[in-house]
Amino acid sequence: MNCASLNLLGKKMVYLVLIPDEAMLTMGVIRPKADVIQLLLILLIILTAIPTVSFVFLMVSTACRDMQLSSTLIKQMEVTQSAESKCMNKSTAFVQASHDIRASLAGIMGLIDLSYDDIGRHSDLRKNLNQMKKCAQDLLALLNSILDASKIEAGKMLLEEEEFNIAELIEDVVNLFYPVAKKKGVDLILDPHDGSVLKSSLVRGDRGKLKQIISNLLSNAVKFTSVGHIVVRAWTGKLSLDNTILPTPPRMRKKILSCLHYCRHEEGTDVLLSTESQDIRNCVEFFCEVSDTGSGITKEKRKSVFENYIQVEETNEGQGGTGLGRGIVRSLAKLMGGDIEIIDKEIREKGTCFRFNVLLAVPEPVVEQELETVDKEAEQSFSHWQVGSILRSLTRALSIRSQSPRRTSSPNSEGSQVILLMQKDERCSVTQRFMRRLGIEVFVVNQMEDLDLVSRKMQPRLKTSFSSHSLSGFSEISSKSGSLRRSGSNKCFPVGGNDSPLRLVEGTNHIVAVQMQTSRKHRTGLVLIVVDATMGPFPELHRVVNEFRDGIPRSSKVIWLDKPLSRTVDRRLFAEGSGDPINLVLSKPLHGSYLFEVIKLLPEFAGPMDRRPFMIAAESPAERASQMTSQEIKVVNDANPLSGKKVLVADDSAINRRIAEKYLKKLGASVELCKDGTDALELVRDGLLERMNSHPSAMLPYDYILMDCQMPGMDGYEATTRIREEEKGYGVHIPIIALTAHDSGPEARRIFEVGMDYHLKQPLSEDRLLEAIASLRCG
Amino acid sequence: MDVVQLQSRLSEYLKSLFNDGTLDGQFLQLQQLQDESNPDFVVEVVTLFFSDSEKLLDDLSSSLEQPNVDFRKVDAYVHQLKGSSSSIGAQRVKNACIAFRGLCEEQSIPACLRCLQLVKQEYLYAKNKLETLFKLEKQVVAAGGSIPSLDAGS
Repeated sequence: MNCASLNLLGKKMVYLVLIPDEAMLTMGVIRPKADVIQLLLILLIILTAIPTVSFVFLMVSTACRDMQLSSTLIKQMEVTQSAESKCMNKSTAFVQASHDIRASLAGIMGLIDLSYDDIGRHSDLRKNLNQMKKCAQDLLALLNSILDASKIEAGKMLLEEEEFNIAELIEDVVNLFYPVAKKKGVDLILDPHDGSVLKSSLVRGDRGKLKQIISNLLSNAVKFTSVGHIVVRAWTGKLSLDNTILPTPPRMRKKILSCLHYCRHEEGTDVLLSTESQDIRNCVEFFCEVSDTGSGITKEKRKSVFENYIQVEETNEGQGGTGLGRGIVRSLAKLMGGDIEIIDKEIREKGTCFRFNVLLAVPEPVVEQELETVDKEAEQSFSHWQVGSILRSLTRALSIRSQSPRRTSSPNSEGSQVILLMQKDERCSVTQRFMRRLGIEVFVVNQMEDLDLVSRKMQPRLKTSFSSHSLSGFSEISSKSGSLRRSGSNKCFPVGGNDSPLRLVEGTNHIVAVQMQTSRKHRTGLVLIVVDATMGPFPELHRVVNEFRDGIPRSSKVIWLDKPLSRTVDRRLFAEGSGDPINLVLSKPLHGSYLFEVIKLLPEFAGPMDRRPFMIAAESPAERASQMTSQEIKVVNDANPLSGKKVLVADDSAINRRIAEKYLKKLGASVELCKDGTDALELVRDGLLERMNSHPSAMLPYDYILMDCQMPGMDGYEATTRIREEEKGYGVHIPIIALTAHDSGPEARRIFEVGMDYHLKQPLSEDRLLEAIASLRCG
Repeated sequence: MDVVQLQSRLSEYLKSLFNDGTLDGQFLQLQQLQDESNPDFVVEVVTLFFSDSEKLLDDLSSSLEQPNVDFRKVDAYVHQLKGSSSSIGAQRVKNACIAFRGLCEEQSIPACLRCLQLVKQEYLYAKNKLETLFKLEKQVVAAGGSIPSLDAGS
């Protein structure tokens, strides 16, 4: 601010120049605004800085954390890898060790077998050896389950493929376990269910593994059940993707492929590669169920049942086990395209029910002609093939039945009827159900005394079919029947006119076939009485049954079911000639192929090539499969003409025994030695009895006997006579070769009089032995 | 001696046994039965023969010394000896036994005793020869060779 005085024209003026300070000016005016702006600016900076900084901070920290995490992850992965590899190493080491253990065990078992040769028959040492062998076998089984589990874990379990008969397999396994179960007082029943397994019984798949699954389930069932029964049933189900054998369109195939691929990926193990080819169309799903009345498994424990190393149920006898079994079973089932689960039983039933299913390929249906030739070949022995043909003819019969409803609709007074005289238990109802399914009329009688009631039930229907037949016809028949009349109980009243002459010669073989053809028109049925021989004192039972049979006007057959070891049936009460068509004795249990064989006795079901309806008289189902565990079927080799045959050599001279043994072993046979007639007789007797109970497929304990004629004590002639007597009871004939120097004169004649089949001169020579075998085979 | 020489000595010896009738074709059959699974089969059987025969000969002697000779028993023993000797191919022993049996039918004790002597002699001769044979075989095997097989023709 400037203040100056000015003189203007005499006037004194004062003017003031106000020059505001610039700074102060701006400050003054904009000062309030500058503050705000400043403030805002700072604020802005801060505001932008904060998120940026925090953002950066976050990023950095995340990155740090990331790095930390990945480093820990890597560390963890390394740790797991090393743990896994340690585990794998441990497993491989275990497997290696187990293989070595297995080799040593095999060595031990082999040595035990060798030691048998030097032991007398009934010595204590032999019993001890038996025990040792059993222990070694148990060890082997345990070891095998461990090895299997580790193999599956390693993903190295491969499925083999072969053709086999699944119905037979199931039956064999059941027969294997039947005696063990019976000992515990548990009945092991094979339920044919709807017979669907029979229709497609020839399959392609891994037989061994399937057997393992069923065996494991059964052994567990037997282990954990102490009372009641165990039922095994199998049936086929529809494969969801493909029901028929018709060729599928390509996209279906791809679907199937992808489904299988999915399965493969799920498990990480190999699935049957062949199913990806044409056989896919023919895949059938087989369901199998093992249901027992044991202690059961609670719902909570069910989940862990299939875990490895866990044993869920308490055992009664504290039996050991690795707990691996069910885990392996599940893995195997999954490998075969299926699974296993526990099914809830009916409310009031206790026990457990395991059901599993597998996928198996069914080859193209066998052509009819092939079947016929197979039947012919199979006539030789009651072998597996024959079982197959029985099943096939039964399924044919089944299909015939199902295709002709007209026949089954009527109560079928002309059809066959079956009466089951046995205790009211599960087996009875299973058998009854199956027969009813086949369309057979079944009556069940639970007590001897009630048999009369049944005959009355049957009578009214029979009376209607009792059409008038001329008495002259009857007298004609009676003259024919003269030879067949036995103890007055074989009265056959013909039903249905022109069949009458045929009915009486029912016993003869080929007539059954003829009857099959005629029976299509006139259903002349048969009354089949299946009796449990242990239901009462046998003579009483026999009498009651005979009275019953006299009371009904139809032809009847009786099947006696006897306990395998203690025979209650007294065959002497069957006053029959050598034909024996009326009474048959079978060993319990009646199931599987034996049941079918019995059903085939009914004329509706008899197959056209059925020439041996009565060979089952002496055979029994139990333990047929025990052969299979030790030696699978030996392949007959022409270079070894006696391959698979058992020969008994009876000679008092040790030298001759040794030499004969060597000759026979060279020809492939297995040899048993004994030193006189008494021993030979005993061996044959025991062998026949044992076979009766346990090895029905090979009726003969020995395929040949080499009998020295001159022996101290009981000589060859006497021994042969007694052996032939024994054989009569079983209806067999073991070829006996006489070893003697006499080839002419009274001694020579005696050879054939006592029933020997061939005669060889001492000393033995290979050629002559072969000659003998060859001529015995053809003769 | 080297292997080949040993082997030829062995086969010569064996041939001589056949030539003088000590052994017959049955022995060859036994040799053919011998294989890797039973490498000592022949030795085993022959040893059995030795022990068996010695026992039989003792029994024969004692039964012929009885006051009442049971000829059926004697016959039975001789039959056994005949059987075993023919099984291993000891031909001369076998023939002696056959002769013996004929004498048993006549039931003459002195004749039987003489025949028994004969049988014993033949047995000892055969035993001796066989033992030598086995010794030779052992030598061949020890020298690293294998026992040459002889066919019936040679």
